[in-house]
Amino acid sequence: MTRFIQCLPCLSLIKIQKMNAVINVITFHFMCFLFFCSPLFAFSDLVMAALSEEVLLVVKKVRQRKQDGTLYLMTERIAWGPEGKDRFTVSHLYADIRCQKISPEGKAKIQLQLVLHTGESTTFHFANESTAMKDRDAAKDLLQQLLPKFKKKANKELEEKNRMLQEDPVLFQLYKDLVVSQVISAEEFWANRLKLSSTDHFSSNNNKQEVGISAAFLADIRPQTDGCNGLRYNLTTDIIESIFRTYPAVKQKYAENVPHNLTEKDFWTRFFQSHYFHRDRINTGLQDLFSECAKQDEKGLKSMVVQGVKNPMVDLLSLEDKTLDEGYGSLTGPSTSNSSKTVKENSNSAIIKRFNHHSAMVLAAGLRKIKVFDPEIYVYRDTSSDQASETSSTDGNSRDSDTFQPPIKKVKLQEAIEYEDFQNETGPKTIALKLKKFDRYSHGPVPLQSHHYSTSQDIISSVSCIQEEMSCYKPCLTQVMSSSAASSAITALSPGGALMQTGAHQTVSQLVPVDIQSELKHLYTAAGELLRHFWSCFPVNTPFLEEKVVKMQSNLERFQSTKLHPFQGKIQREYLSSNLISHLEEMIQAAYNKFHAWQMRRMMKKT
Amino acid sequence: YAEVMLCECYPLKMKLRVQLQCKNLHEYLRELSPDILDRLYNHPATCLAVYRELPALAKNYVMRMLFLDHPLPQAAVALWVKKDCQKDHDRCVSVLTGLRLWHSQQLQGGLQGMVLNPVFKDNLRTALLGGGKTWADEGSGLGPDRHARDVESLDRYAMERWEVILHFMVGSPSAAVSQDLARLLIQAGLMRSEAGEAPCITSAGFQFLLLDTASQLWYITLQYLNTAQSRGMDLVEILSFLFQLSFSTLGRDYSVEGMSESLLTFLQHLREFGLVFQRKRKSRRYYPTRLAITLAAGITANPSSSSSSAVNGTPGTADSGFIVVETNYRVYAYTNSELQIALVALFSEMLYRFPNVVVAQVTRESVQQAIANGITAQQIIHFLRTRAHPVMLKQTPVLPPTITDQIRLWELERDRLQFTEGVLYNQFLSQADFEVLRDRAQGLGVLVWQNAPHRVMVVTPHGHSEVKRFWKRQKSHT
Amino acid sequence: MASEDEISLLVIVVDVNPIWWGQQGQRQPEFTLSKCLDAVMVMANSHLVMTRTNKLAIIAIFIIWSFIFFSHFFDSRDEPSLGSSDGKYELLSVANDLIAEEIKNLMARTQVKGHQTDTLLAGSLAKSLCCILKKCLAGQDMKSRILVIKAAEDCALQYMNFMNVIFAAQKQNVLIDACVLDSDSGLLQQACDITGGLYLKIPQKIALAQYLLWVFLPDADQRSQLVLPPPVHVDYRAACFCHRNLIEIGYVCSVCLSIFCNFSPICTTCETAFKIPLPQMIKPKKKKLKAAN
Repeated sequence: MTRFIQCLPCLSLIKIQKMNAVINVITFHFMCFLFFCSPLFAFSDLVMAALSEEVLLVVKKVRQRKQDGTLYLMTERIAWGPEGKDRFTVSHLYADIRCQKISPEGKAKIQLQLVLHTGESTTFHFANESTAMKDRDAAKDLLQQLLPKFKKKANKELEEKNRMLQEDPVLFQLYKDLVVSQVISAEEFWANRLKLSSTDHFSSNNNKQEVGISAAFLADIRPQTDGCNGLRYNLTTDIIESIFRTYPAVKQKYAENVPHNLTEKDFWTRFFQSHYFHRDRINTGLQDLFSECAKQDEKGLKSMVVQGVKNPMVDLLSLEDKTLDEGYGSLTGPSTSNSSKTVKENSNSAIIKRFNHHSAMVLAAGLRKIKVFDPEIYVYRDTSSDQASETSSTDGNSRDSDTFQPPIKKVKLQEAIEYEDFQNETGPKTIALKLKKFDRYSHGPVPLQSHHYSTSQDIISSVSCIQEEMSCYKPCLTQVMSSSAASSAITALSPGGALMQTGAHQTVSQLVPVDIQSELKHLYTAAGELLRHFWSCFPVNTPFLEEKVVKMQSNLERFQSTKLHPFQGKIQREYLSSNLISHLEEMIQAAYNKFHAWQMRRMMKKT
Repeated sequence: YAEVMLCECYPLKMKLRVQLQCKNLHEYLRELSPDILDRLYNHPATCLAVYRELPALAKNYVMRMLFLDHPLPQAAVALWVKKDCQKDHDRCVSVLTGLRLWHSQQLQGGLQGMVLNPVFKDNLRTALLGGGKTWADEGSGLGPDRHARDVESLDRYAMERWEVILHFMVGSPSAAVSQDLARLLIQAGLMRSEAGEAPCITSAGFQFLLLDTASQLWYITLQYLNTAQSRGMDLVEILSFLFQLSFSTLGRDYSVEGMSESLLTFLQHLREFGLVFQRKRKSRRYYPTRLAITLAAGITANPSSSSSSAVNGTPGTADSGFIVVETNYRVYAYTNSELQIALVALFSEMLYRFPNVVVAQVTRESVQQAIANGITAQQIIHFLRTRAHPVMLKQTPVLPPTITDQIRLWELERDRLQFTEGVLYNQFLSQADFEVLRDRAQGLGVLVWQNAPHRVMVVTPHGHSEVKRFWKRQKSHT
Repeated sequence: MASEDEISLLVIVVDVNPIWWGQQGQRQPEFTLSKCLDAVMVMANSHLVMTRTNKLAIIAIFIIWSFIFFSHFFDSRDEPSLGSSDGKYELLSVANDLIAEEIKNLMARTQVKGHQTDTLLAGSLAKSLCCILKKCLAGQDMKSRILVIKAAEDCALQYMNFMNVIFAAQKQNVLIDACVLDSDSGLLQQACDITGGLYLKIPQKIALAQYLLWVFLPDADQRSQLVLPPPVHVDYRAACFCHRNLIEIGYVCSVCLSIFCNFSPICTTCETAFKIPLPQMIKPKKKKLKAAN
């Protein structure tokens, strides 16, 4: 919504627009099967519910899906019914609504859109010619007040679950196999997986990182020329918040003056008009609201300089210019040129001073403790900040204690002096390997082979035989093989021959098609999951584990009957006679045996 | 006389650009007549050379059957390859049959069998296993050579001789070759000689110049072989001798003992090519040079083969890489050889010339000029690649892709027109006539182009006779 | 089709254990060491002739007592000093003569020492790998394979070295083929399985040349196209260290990795004591037992 501001007569005409920041929660894409649509009420229930609830706002002439109707805002839901009909066709609990959106300015159609958690959206078109805008704004404001009350806390958990399922397709498949087909319940599935439980939720908020302030927030305002000699500044709530955080003085002024003396628009107009805002603050008029702020800033800057930086590692003074001055240091008296600074130098130094001050303020604002409104406990809570104690930078206006504490200084010094690499090596202690039977390594895990021992007589005679043969050896390649020998060898090597027999043996992976293989893999993963739950129950110490073990047993049985047997049947019918799932069945059988043994023992204990 | 020529036919003959055809050994052999081929296989060296050029799978087939005397059933042979390599198998079979290396024979049971050509088999076995006569006498019978040549000098000699031929083609005045050789070049289509004038180079000659040495060798040799019979030489004899040369060892001398007259003449020609070295014409021994040995390797005109690397590897040969091509179209040729410079200048503009390097720039005009002379972009690129400097060889791709692409693009600029020979039919007197004839030509599949509003069509030359006959029949009927 | 540029190196390792061959010569006079060497030379010649760039084979021969073997790289670009007198391609006759010469020398130098009759398979394979590596480092891009022609039996003591060599070969992408004349060799079966080579036990020794040409001559690319004898099923079961029986499930010492079929609290190879945490439930029982005692 725009509001025009008629500013004070002066050279520039300033219009300020304030835009509503659209409240946006982080968006996900929720998978449909996880979240069912809002419970479908019977129509009578709707009406009854509507009648029993208090109606906060009624807007006539609201079109939905090209049908005329009336929009009702009640305490817990928003509903719309078509013209002339008694019942509501559209009804949403505020709890289900994620956010609302409005159509931008200047559009002919004035619309309001509600986006639900499920991703669905409903659009209402305000068709009353005269009051459409007002109606829509009224509805929007009411919703703005009501929606935050009903925001679901459990969103975070569901979001987390969703994210995990989306990221890991194996997990997703497992979820589909086990939970959707009702083999185990969702809580069991998520029991070990989700790190986030409800008690952690509160503390997680504390560990959220603080959002700092951009140093350019003032520059980002980026005024636009407005045609007739005016400038237009767009202020969003973010920028306003940044200004307040950085310059508490301005915030103070705001608190003092708005809304008693000035409207918001006036305040900001004055702010931008004032020379406080402008670059060079040389001529500050006394009527200016912000002249005090300027004086405060000066004081703050001076105190900052006086305090200095207490980090022993940092020596700011070494950065100073060491000029030789006139006469190359030979003149003993004070230089005459020191005092008179040109006008330009003065304005330059003013800008530099202003710039440094601004940066210091931004940094300090980021570190300062902020009071945050925590909706859960309805109270202002301080956010902690890790680095506040370390550095000593301040702005003159804050009241934080920032003395540099001695223990931290010591730690810092220690860090700077010692180097890890120069320490003595203290690796983990190891034990040397001492083998007693070394020959085991030489023969390795190879079974004993029968050795053919030859007598020394044999050896000698063989060797002499060979030596005789070789002494008259001459390669005679043409006689190397007869044709018949060659052809018999070829027969042995041709398909069907003696050497090619084992080719018929194909590995199972070649016989079984790929989709069967992947199905088998899924079965293995699912069975593994169930068995893990089962075996983790042992030893059974608590009643909870007892219950769980019984439940898991029934889960396993159900898994076997619903998944394994049909799969086995399918394979046997279509592909192989071999039993692909024999190993799975072995594992499950081992679990059954363990369960029965445990049951036996329990019964024996009781008797 | 009512019947006036209903249409006029103009045979269109456009001058087509001649492409240099480099055949490989197998294609050459396939063109020979069967009895020549059989006689050719009588020498182990030929068999070995032919064997080496077979596709790898075919080599395995030959080896498998080398020791068999009787045929194998065809069905069994078909089962030697896996199912998805049937295409390769068929290709090998066709290659082997085309070269008459094996043929089918009836087995006892009436089945078809395959058996190796017995002559080929025996000679290949001799080459592998021995047991036959020697190929050539070694020079050891003559005692050690007092004027023995080492490998470097042989290489130098070879390159010198070869370059003289190339220089001659380019037209350098200092190069002089024998009449025989000049005639050979003219017959090969590489040069053209007007009556009485010195021969000058043709476009095919340009393309020839840019080939690598091995391909050039083989091309000339093939041309020589083609003219051999007209000279009264025995093709088989000289081909066998050529192959035998290609399997000889570099640096060894061989004796001319036992060579016939025609072989001796052939040897002299080889001497001129630089394939052998003989100290004097009447010398009793000769040395094969590296060119002869790589002749067998250059048989397959493989543009990216490193078969020329054998030639490139020797120091002092002008073919070792000396060209650097930069991405700014500059070409740096580190050479002093006039020939090489002339070759580079064929397709680029010379910028600077220094004692050891020549700087040229490849420009649009220069490349298109070369193309107008009949050189293709592929040949230019091949030339640059085969003569690339070792520094260039380290990068992949060897030549910058911008350059190669641009040269091709420049070539394509000229190739916007595609020429097809045909016969023009026009001046039809009626639309109906035109359509009848046009449909007929289309039905025969010989219609190249037509323009119905103007009643003009173009028919391929060999379809022309058929269409004309049809038209005459039409005319006589109506 | 293998490109011209690729160099294919074949190393043939021939087992010339004189004791085995001497006995073989007495058993079956038509197939002696000479015949075997002839067949090997045929194979070598065929390999050299295949492509201009093929390099042969080192032919490494190993004998237990004298760790001598010889190796020679035969290249089509070598300059031989001898010529050919029988129509054989010059290069081949040079190669063959050289091989014959070396074997004769080797045999003449052999002297009987001791009772060991084993062939040093692992050592010779290691040497072959070294030679291959040396050639590779010379800067050429090569595909190499080793063909082992084995006659005598396996030597059990070479297991560890042999396995190291096999894994080194696998890393270097060197194929190990095995052609076994007499008894199956488990080590070579494993070697062929791991490196991707072929293992073949020949039924007829006199047709050795044909088997070699049929199965082992094609290189890796061509092998993918041809139908060759299928790979042998390798029994990878380990034998326990205590009884040398083949077992499927066993206990492994975490310190020295020796395999046992039965549990024992101390590893007999490295004498480490195993500490196994006892489960909670057993404690009360133990107390009861103690009380009972």
